[in-house]
Amino acid sequence: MPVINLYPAPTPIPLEGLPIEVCGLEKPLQTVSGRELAALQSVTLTVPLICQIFNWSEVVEWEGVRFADFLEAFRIETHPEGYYAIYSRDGVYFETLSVDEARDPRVLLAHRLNGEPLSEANGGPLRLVVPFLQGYKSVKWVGSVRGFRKDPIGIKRLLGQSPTGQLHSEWLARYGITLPPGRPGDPPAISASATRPSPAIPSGPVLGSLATPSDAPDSTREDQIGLKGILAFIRPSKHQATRQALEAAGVISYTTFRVLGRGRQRGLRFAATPEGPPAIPFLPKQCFSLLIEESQVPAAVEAIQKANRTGKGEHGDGKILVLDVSDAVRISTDERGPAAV
Amino acid sequence: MKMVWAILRPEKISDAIASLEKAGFYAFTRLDVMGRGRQKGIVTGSSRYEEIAKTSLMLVVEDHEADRAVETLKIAVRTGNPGDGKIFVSPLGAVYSIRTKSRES
Amino acid sequence: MNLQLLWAIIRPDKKPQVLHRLETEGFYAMTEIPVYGRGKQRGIQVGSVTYDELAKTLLLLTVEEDRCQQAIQAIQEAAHTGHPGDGKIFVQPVGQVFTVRTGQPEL
Repeated sequence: MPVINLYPAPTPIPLEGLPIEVCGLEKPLQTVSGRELAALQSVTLTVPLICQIFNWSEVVEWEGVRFADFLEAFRIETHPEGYYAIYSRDGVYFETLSVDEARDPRVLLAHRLNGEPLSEANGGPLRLVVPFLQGYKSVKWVGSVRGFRKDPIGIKRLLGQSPTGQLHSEWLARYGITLPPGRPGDPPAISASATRPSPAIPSGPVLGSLATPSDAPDSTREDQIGLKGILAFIRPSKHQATRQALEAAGVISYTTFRVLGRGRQRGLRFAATPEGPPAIPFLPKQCFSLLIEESQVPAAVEAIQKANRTGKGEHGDGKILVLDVSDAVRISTDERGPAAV
Repeated sequence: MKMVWAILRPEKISDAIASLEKAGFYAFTRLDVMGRGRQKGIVTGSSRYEEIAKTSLMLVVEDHEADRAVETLKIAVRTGNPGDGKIFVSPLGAVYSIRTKSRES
Repeated sequence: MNLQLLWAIIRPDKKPQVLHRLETEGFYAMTEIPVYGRGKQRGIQVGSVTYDELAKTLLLLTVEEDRCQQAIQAIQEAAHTGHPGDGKIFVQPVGQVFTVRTGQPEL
């Protein structure tokens, strides 16, 4: 089997010691060990693994646990029309399945390949196997599974691959693959305005009267747009850790700037002068501003908290505010609403 | 009232301000920020830039003017390439003036 | 308790007065951001020179709804000079707030 890795492989770990972070929709995060997973009923499937992008396929024998059994056993729930995101331990790669795809009995969390324990190079100790979709959906080195209400849009789709990960009909015919009933993943959301030719950029000065809305929104769009803004005030030293944690939680875009701030403690006092006005009334802080889908808010808040909690009970770890957003536009493509995020 | 936040290319700021002025939006607040979009920054040669310098403009406009402000900004700064930025609109509860000590909306 | 985020844009030279006043009224926690901006007067003209952006200080405060008016009044009074350029206060409802140290959804 050829090995195609997009990102550096994470450090090897045996299945027994593998922690798998799972989080149902609006449920607290819990950790399941690889040992608990291996205790579930094991199944063997002989199916093709198809990489449509490299025009390559091979029939292999996987052994592992049905993904549906795994979801059931650890009560990882999502909305009836929701999604599951499966994250790789490298902290970057993730892909998503609709509920209907995820519950298909052919979807496995595999830990053995052709009778051998799954090697590190092939995604060991645990990888996802989705035989009816393109190979990129079969996430290697599974480290986390989360439920989402809206499709968080996996990494390959971000990189411009097929919208749903579906195989070409030739592949389906060659291996006699049937698609699961129900909903596939969402095609990438493109707003009505983005499919229209973008307005010509006037060569002369832009007059106020020229710049009338090309797609006047109906008043119902407000509050239904499903976007939230997050302002997080954190320690500047946690800037990079926060970036990495957000990335692992699927939040790639952000804006950040340095600010000065303080909490109820009114800044810092020296031990020699514990009373009176603080010697350092404002401390340098970093502000992160995020624009994300509502369904991503719990994951983003948790990522920021996890990256920033020093755990010593000391003040100054920061605050996170969640704010309403009534409209969003990506300037380069004119996409509006959730598509702009 | 609505708060309009735009994250723009720093080199496009004067175009943005000129167009806003022509459309009758005179008041704004500018803030230099760093940020990135879904492309995760940019790679040039062997260097990777996780964050790129951006300039942020914040303006507060009447509800019915928000779309016109967004359209004006969008047309003024678009190059069509990744990195053009984003504009987002948030609802405000109230606006107060300090000079007149009054509530404006 | 509903929370409100106050965005107060004030004169940088009025910052000490505003801070002192907010402290005496019991508002200690805030964030300060140096920004540039202008109002509907489009900056200021001094002789032949136009300053179209002026340095301002943006203060961010999250306050409980029932103390919101008190905070607004405190800023309005302490930052007031009566001339154009005194600044503005924007009030934005906050959906949720989390304290990172404790992980609790409270201020």
